[in-house]
Order: sequence, then C-alpha cells, then structure tokens
Amino acid sequence: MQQRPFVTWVLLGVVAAALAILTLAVYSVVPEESGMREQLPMVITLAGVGLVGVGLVGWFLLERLLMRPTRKLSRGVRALLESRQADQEIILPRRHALGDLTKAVDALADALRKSRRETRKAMQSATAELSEQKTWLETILQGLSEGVLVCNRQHQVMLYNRAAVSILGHPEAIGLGRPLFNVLSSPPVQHTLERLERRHGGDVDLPAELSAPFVCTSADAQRMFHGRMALIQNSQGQITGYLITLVDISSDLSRLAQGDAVRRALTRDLRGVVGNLRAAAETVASYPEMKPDERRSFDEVIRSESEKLSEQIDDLAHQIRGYNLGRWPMADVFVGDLVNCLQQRLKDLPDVRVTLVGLPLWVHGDSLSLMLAMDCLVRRIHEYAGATTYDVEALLGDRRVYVDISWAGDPIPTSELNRWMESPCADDEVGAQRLGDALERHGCEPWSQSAKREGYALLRLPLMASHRPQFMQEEERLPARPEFYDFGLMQEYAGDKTLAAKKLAELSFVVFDCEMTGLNPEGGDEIISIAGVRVVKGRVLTGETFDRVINPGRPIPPGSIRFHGITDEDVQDKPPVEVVLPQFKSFAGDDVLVAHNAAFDMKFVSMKEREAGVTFDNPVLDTLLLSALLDGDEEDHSLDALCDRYGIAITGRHTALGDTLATAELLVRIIERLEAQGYRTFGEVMKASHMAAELRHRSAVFSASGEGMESARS
Amino acid sequence: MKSDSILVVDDEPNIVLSLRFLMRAEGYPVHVAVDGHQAIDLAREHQPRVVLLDLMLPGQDGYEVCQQMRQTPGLEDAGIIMLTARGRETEREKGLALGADDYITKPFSTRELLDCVRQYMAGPARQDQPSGQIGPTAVAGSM
Repeated sequence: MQQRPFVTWVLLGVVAAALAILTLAVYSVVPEESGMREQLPMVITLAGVGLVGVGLVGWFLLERLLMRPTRKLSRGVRALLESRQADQEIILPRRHALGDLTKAVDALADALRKSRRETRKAMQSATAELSEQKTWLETILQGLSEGVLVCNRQHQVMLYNRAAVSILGHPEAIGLGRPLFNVLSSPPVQHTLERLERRHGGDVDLPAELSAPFVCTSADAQRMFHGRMALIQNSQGQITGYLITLVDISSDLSRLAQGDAVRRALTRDLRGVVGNLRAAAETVASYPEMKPDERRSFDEVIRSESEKLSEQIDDLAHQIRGYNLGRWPMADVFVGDLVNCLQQRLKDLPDVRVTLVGLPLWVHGDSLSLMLAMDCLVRRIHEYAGATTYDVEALLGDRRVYVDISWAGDPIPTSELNRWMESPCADDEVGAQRLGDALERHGCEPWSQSAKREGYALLRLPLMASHRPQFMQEEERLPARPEFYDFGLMQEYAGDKTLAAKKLAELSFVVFDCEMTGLNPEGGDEIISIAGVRVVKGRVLTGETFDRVINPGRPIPPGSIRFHGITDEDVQDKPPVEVVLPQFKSFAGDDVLVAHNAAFDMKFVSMKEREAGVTFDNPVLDTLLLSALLDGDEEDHSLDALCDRYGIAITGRHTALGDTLATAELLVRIIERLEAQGYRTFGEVMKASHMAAELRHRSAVFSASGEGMESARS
Repeated sequence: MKSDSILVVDDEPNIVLSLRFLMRAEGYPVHVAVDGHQAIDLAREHQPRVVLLDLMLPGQDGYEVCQQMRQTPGLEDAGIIMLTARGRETEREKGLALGADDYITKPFSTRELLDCVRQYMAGPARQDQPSGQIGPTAVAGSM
C-alpha cells in the first residue's frame, strides 16, 4: 500500500469525523430555544477551519518526520540489497521521528556489509592463487614477439597481446568482442579454419594435427603476415574458437626478392653473357689463322658482351646491396648500453676514461661483436696515440647511425687502421675473429679523420640504424596491466538475435565523455577532448581506452579552463574534430554508447557528424536516466553524488578520461542493480529509460528550478 | 639418308657467330634458325644429325621445339643438345625428359662442346639411352 495516499486519506477521515462529532456535540449541547442557535454555523465553520489547519500541520509533520525519512530509508536499504558491493552506504535521514529504527537499520546494514566483506575476503584469498597464475600467463603472453589473437566462432576477438596490437598497426580497431576482420583479411583465415575443421571432423586415421600455417595480409593490405592457426576445443570436443599467431613478414619480403635476384642472375642472366663471351674468346684463341673480317666480328662480340656483363654486375650489386648484412643474428642495440659495457671492460686500464656524449641512439647489430670491436679499437688508439679520455657519440645519418670515438690528438693513418682490421679482435670470446670481420658483418667500413673540435681526431663507425623509432618510448601507448581478454565471449552465439533481446550482461558498451569550451553547442562551443572506454560483461576494460585532445579551431574561454584544464597551447598541435570523430567511431564500432547525461554530449557530437563524415547511429544509454529510474527523482544524480553513493573513487575528475572511467564504473553498478530489479534485456532497459526520460522531462518543465540536469552536468 | 649437317637454334647473334664458326671449322655444314618455327622447317628440310638448341627463344620456347622435333619423322634419332643459360637442376631434368640428349649450361667450354658434337656425329644418338632413367622413382607404400 502506498504510504502517502494512505496517511492523507486517514487524516482527511479523522478531520471529517472530528468535524461531524463536533457538530453533533454542539447541536446537542446548545438548547434549541436559546438565541445562540443562529451563531452555531459560524462557530462550526470556524472550528472546521481550525481542524483542517491542524490536520494540514499534522500531515506536513508526518510527511517530514515519518513518510519522507521512511522513503529515504527504504531506498537506501533497497540500494544496499541490490548492489553486490560491500561499501554501499545507506544515507540516513537527518530529522525524523522513526525513533530507533534508523539506528537499527544502520546496524543491520553494517552487519550486512561486514558479512559481505568477509565473503569477499574469503573469495579473494581463494582467487589470489588463480590471479597469480593469470598474471604469469599474461606476462608470458605480453612478452611474446609474435602477435597472439584468440577468437570465437563469430570471429570476435577474445584475447590479444601487445605484439598483435603493434604489428597489426591499428590500436583503435582491436578490442575484445570486436570483429577480427576489421584488422585482418578474412579469406585466408576463413579458408584455414574451414580446412582445419574438415580435418577435425573427418574420420581420417591420421593423428589430428589441429593447427596449420597460412599467409595473410592486414585488412588494409599494408602488411603481410605469416600466421598459424590452432583450433580450440571444449571438453566435449566441439570447436569453440581458434588461436592465431602472427609474425610480420613484410620486411622479409624485400629480402626474399633480393635473394631471388641473386638466384636469377646466377642461374640465368649472367650465364648467357659469359657463355657468349667465353665461346667467342675460345674460338679466337683456337683459330689464330682466322680471316681479318671474321676476327673483327669476334672482337665486336667480345666488346659488346663485356659491356653487357659489367652493366649486369652493377645492376645486381645495386639490387642486393646489404643483402648479406644482418644475416648474422642481430638485434636492436642501444648505444648507451654499448658504452656502459665498454666502460666496464676498460676497467683494467685505470687511466682510460670513456664518456658517452650526446643522445644515445639505437643501432642494428650483434651487441657482443660491436662491444668487442669498440673495446679493441679504443685499446689500439690508446696504444698508438696515447690519448686517455675518449668521447663516444652517436649521430643520425640519412640511412645509418654513425658512432664516433673522439680523442685529443691526430687521426689514425689509413694504413695503420688497415693493419688493425687484420689483427684478431678479442682474445677468445667470439672464436678469435678479426676486427675487420666483426665490422664487415655490420656493413661497417670505419675511417679516421680530424674532429670539428680543434686538436681532436675521431674514428667513425658507420652502423646500420635500427628500424625502431629513435626517440619514442615504445611502451607508452598501453598501460602496464591492461585487460586483454574475455573468454566469456566464447559462449556468445550472437548474430541472429536482435539487440533488444540481448541480455544486459552480454552487451558491449563504450562509455564516453567529452569536455567542451562551454555549454552551448549552437552558440559556437566546441568539443576539446573526448575519451572512451569499453565495458564488456560487467568489466571495465581499462586496456581499451580512447583519449584524444581536439583542436577546437577557436580560442578556449579562460572561464572553462578551470574545469577541464586544457589551454590553447595544449591544443595547437592537436587534430581537429573531423579527424578525431572518425577515429572514435572506429573505436566504438556498433557498441552501445553510454554517457552521463548523454543527451548533452550527443548533441555536441551529432552537430559535428556531417563535417566528420561519420554517423553515430549506435543505441545510446544515459547513466543519469538509469540512476533516476532506480532511485527516483528526489535523489541527487550528479556524477559526483553518484560516485559518493556507490563508493567510486574518481581520479582526474573533469578530464574526459577520468569522468569516462568513473561513469564506466557507475554503469557496472547500475547494471547490477537493474538486473537485481528484474530487468533482463537491453530492450526492457531502453523502454524504462525512455520512460524515465519522459518523466524527468515533464517534471523539469513543471518545476521552475529544473536543477537536476544542471547540477548533474557541473 | 641423314646428312652431317648441324642446326643451330638461337636468337642471339653473338653466340651464333661463335657456334657457326666452330662447327664450320670442324667441317660440318651449319644451318641457323632464330625461332622455333624456322627450326622445325629447317630440320625437316635438312635432316641435321645434331641440333644445338637454346631454351630461351622468342615465341615457342626450347622445350616445346624439342618435343615437336622428336615427333617429326626423320628427326627421332637426331642428337639434340640443349645449350642454355638456365642452370637449375630441375630445368636440366625437364630438358632431358622432353627428349634432349644432352644439356649444356652456359658458360661452356668450346672444346667440350665440340667433343660432344663429334660423339653424336659418330653414331646414332638414342640407342642406349633408356627413357625414364632419370626422374622420380615411385615410393612404395602409402603416404
């Protein structure tokens, strides 16, 4: 039974009854013949007005001290019951006449929280071991240089590692639950899968080898991979998914082409020319009595074929330049590390000091040979020129990295340097190879010259530059322990179901938030940053975030800077919104978009759709409306208040990413409560949320303050 | 009746010059064809005892010419020597399988070539060369 109407009717009844009793009493007490009878209606009216007044005051007191506190208390209890969190607080009414009830409820809540904490603790210790094993697995996976992807039968990615992201090249297109064929060309994968499945299903006696190699390209055909696919079976032997490992062979292809050129030259092109030459030369030699005009034509053959031969050799040398370099096992070597090792090795020469100057760079080579060669060179220079302090500096050339060893004194004469090249490099470490061999393997032809600095000389080692970017921290793009997998997707046999019938827990959401120059999109305010994070199966995938600062193409009002902290300098080298929105669309795919007060953000986004050439036709959910749906309109549904209530810590409030992550956590809690209240499918929630929006809209129209929306935005 | 003549099939004048000179110096009549068609025509007409056949010809390649010659009446036992810059083992196998008697890779020694030609001039070429001598052997058992 509804409390408020009940109390209202009872009060009305009491007032009416009191009035009736009063009327009867007055008429029975006052004698008929007395002159006071005429005044009675006035007295009764006055008494009635008094009674109604008392009734109203009574109703007001009841509402304030009993009914509202009761409602607030029951909302709190309900929220606590429906939430699975241990730190859900019950907000107690401050003024009330519920007596000890609030304290009792609070004590009950404490007890519940305590028992939840205990349960959680027990679960935590039970899962700690599991999580340690998981960490091991993750570390191994992330350490692999091969790209690893696991997909379900719908070709949705369920696991990927960092190498996969970097070799596939489109970090925003790879994500849990996203289609594999966004990043990889489908025919080779489908074909290999089909082949393996046939092999798996077939009744061949052969031991079923459930993996196969294949070659494929990235979806944009920019890169080429050597892949291997293995089927994943469940305990019943059904195929539930597959594993793909990928190695980038794009760079190997040019090597292969060079190899082909060498082979073709040796088996065909050069043979023809040399064949002609040799036949002519031998004929001329064997028949000295040849007639002069015959002899002339042979001379002509010898001349023209020799010319052809030298042209072909030049051509071949050009094609295979550097072909054999890098055949020795080589890796990217940091010059800083080389110099460190060098300093350690030269400890036996106490007066020799080697200093690294300038920015150290990456070279491609065999670290040990390079270090030994440098050690050897410094010792030889020390013996020859007597210098004791050496600077080592790496310089970036067009195609190579130059490592200069410089000292005070004269350059080393070439004949001396050549002598060093012939001598053994190190005593025993690398099989007593010559210094020249070690350097030649790196395509390195060293020379000595005077340095720019007066009175100094240098020895220059031109080395192969590494392919990695010289000045970028490579681990920066992804956080340390991102969530890269979700095997729950394995169970998802989606595709034919419509979105509305989808279970809440199975939806993939992209929660997002924008920061703007102001509150008025029609008045020229623009988006200056946008962030998003994926939420799949009740998990906030902090490894799959999108975070961009946008150049709004207008000055940022100083008043707004104190909210978002983004200044004109911060945006000057940033892309405009028409570059960033398509990237965000690619990140969001067809997932459900979620924001706190989504209408506001969507308004800004939709105004830029035409410019950016993308359409956000994704379904949209609003955590503000969902919260209102759960707790009614009386509560404060601003992001700050909700985070307080749900015990969510916001780091970076009023940055797009900070607000996004907080909203994502909020979404997870809200979905838990929606499920506890019996909402099952996305369609049900959408319908209820539309109703909540409608109600809220109506109350906003009627109430003059309408501060719910405003405060929620601040 | 077969003549003692030699047919040189090659489109490169620079090697044809040497081959023609060498063979003439040895006293053999020499005919020169620069493509497959001409080679077949000249072979029908002159019934050469030895054919020096290049593999890389314009139009029909040497393998095809070799096959056709073997099917041409009167040429079944001519000595066909493939003279080519294609030096891979598989190409040699293919040449011999398609009916060539010898396969000489460029660059070659002129003395060896002359020895080889003399050998085919001396007697019928394809008596004691059972076909199928080279090439893969079937492996017993199932895969």
